[in-house]
Amino acid sequence: MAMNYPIEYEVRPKAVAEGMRWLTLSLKNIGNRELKDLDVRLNSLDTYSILVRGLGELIPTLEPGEEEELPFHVSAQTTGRVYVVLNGRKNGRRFHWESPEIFIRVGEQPAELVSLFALTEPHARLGEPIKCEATVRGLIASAGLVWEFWAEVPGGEFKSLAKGGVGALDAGEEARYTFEITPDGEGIYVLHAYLYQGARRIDHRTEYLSISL
Amino acid sequence: MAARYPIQYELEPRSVDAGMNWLTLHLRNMGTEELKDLDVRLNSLDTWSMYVYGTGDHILILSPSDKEVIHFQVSVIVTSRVYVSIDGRRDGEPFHWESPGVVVRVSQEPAELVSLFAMTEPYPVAGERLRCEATVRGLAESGGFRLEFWANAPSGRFDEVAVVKTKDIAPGEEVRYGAEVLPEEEGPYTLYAYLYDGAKRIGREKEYVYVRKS
Repeated sequence: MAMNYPIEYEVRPKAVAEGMRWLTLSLKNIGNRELKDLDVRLNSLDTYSILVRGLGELIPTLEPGEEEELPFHVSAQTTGRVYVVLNGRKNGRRFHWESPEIFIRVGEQPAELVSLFALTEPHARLGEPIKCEATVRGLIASAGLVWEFWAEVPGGEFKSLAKGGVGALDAGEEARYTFEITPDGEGIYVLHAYLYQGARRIDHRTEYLSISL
Repeated sequence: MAARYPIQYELEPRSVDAGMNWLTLHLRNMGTEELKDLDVRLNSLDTWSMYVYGTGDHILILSPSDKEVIHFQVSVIVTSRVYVSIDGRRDGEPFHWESPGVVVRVSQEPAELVSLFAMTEPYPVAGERLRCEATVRGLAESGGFRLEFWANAPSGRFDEVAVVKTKDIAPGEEVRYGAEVLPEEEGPYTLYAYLYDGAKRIGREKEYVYVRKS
């Protein structure tokens, strides 16, 4: 089980078929203090991909060394990320605990977006072109996928930057795609990479850039 | 209204009180083709911050220039991002459309975590320190906050990197805080910054870096 003191935790399974499924969260108090009134939530970081039903569970008391298993009903459409939050009381005081992201693979996804990076320092200069790079990895032999790059600019406009096809990929094979953006206004830019299989969006990554004079 | 062809869209209000609220989505077909059998969803990018009730709505036909209004009930704890997705048919073919993230603010928040950046090239080298930097913006008169930096290594280790007690930040003021991470494993790292007001986590940002072998 993964650990973030005072909780050991695990969400399983890590791969599910599309549709309505169950994920089980295991929690163990590895601290030396009783934890009380625990509001336990399994949170989705994109409900289009994975929607967790309900608002969570309550554990009245979790003693040191004690374990609990909580089932969560989820609607799984594409690979996504979830994380766990506990709010409760420790030693009479309120505390908040959360896990890092937990990756849940959904269905027979042919490929994934491994990363999207702007190849620059994070606080880039206005008017200078910035090269960006996305990496696509095949999960099974696939062909005919399409990538798109978009940018949310500080004024709120959502601009299409580039679009292209992913060539045939074997399982484990990676391909990198680059594009350029020349910021014309100060502020925070959000870059988006999308991966499509036909009309189905199968992955999405974002990258932030801060642009100044 | 914002636009991404063939849809114009607007979500309102953009600022709400914490708790149960209604958000209203306005859609307009700005294209030249009829859109059919639309599965319209408002998707949360963090359900702890904002939970959207229900699984969306269905629009049978949205003809060119037609408008529709859909209401979504949400439970809001802190400022969050949502986006709209539409799956349907255009010209007989399936299509997918989605908006960029739309920020919905919680009006009483004292500060926000604006960004977290790794101050490095995207592929840093294992064994070399990398600096990350979080920006906090004050929104109301308040005392200091606790800012935590964490790193999630490829092996799954999740380590606290630094805890910073911020100064009192005036409304509109932006302050940058930094921390150093020493990545020792090769592979994808996720860096996190968390902003706390007492025991309430009011901000969460993440940054990905891919660490190469030294």
